[in-house]
Amino acid sequence: MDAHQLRRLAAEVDDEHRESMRGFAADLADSVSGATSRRRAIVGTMLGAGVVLMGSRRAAAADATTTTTAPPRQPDDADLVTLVFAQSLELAAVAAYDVALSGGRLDAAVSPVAALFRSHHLEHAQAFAGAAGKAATNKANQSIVKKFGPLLSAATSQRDVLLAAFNLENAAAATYGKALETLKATDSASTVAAIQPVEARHAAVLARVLGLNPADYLTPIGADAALALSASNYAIQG
Amino acid sequence: MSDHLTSDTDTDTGMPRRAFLTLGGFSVATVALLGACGGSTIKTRVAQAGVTPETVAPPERVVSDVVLLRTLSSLAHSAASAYQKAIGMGALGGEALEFASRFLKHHQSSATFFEDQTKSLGGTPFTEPNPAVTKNIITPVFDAVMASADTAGDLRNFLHSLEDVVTETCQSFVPLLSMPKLRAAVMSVGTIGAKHSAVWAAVLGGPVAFSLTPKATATTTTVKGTVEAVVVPVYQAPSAFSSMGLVPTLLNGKKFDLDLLGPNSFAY
Repeated sequence: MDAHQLRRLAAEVDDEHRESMRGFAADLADSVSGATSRRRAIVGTMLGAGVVLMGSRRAAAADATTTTTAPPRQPDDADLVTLVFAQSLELAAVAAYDVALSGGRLDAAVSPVAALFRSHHLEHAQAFAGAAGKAATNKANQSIVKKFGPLLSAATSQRDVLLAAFNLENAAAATYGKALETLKATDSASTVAAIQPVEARHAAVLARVLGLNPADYLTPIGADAALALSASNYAIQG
Repeated sequence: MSDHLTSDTDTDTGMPRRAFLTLGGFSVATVALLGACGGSTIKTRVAQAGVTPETVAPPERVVSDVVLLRTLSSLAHSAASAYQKAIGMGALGGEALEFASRFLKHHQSSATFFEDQTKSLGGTPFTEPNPAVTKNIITPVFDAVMASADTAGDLRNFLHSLEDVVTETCQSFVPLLSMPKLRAAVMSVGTIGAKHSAVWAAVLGGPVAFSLTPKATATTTTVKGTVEAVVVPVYQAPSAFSSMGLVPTLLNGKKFDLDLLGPNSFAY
């Protein structure tokens, strides 16, 4: 076969390829009429090759010892409920520290620390707002404010104020432990995992200042789980 | 369509067009198949003389939940072993010794906890200290501490940093774990490490209980012969978000950076 013949045959194949691209309607018409066309031959060949390719992929999948599905990165509806609740908890903590900082009950050494912790909670709320997107309410959880607010308002000493703050920080850390049990999205879980240790640190710092027995705040694994707050018990609207 | 396609046989060659088309289609499909299976073999090569160096493919290692849990039990064993060594040196006293003894038990419990989690997934628990941690952290650190004039101070610095390594390694594993319950389990230990770290930071701060930013400092002689202060800040609450970077520590007047556990130190 010389070059001329090869070019001509190649052009013929190209013609057939273009014709095959006209669509299934023409192919269907051909098959109904019983005509055996070159187009059908080519399409059939390509289809066969496709089956071979698909078959090879299936074979590869069958060879694998395990099949895994990567966890989602973005939150689903259930995750959003958790994230929205977490934001409301953080804003409630900000409100609680506002009460703690008012009334001049904290001394000059402690006030900056409370202000620092308040700023951390505000940043946490902003992080959860970003994670929750449009679902975020941007409101402090009124049920949590009602739980801790009166304790802080009624506190007459620095110790009482810090004790209430300590309980709040421990509850927040435990809440995030519970949240991680259900959050499916890895991005959301990572956000919670970056915040939970900070709440725990806050609690430890406050415990040291309060002079608490180490056994009361350096607890074993899972000992604080019962302190977790949940969306079902602490409605955002109060 | 051109006229010559009306006949099934090409008169010039005597080759049936149908056969040619079938063959051509098969050839195209084969090329596509081969192309999908491998990359191009035509590559520009740099001219090379001498013996071609032999390369060995890296071993295939799968980072699974079991591997991560085995790694965490190995890390907990490493931490417990470090506390045992620190206590055994006899330099810690007072509340530092009290905290060290308490935290040693916590790390032992964490090791058991992760071993149980590994078993629950059908894996074989890792029951020894992590070899990479021993080689790269524990051994050089204790060598430096032994040579230090302030053994107790260096031990406190190191134990504080070690707790940060534990916490941040747990944190770094969260997005790698496939199941939410495992993430929660891992962070239940990470959170305890964070509390330990805050306590050590407070202990490092001395008698002032509420100093948030005490600093561990020392002087060192640079290669140019000048004496400079080395400052490694120690915070009880470093920032609003727990970080996952190198963990600095100060030992025998020198700053060391401790790595979190990564793929090269996993317990596969």
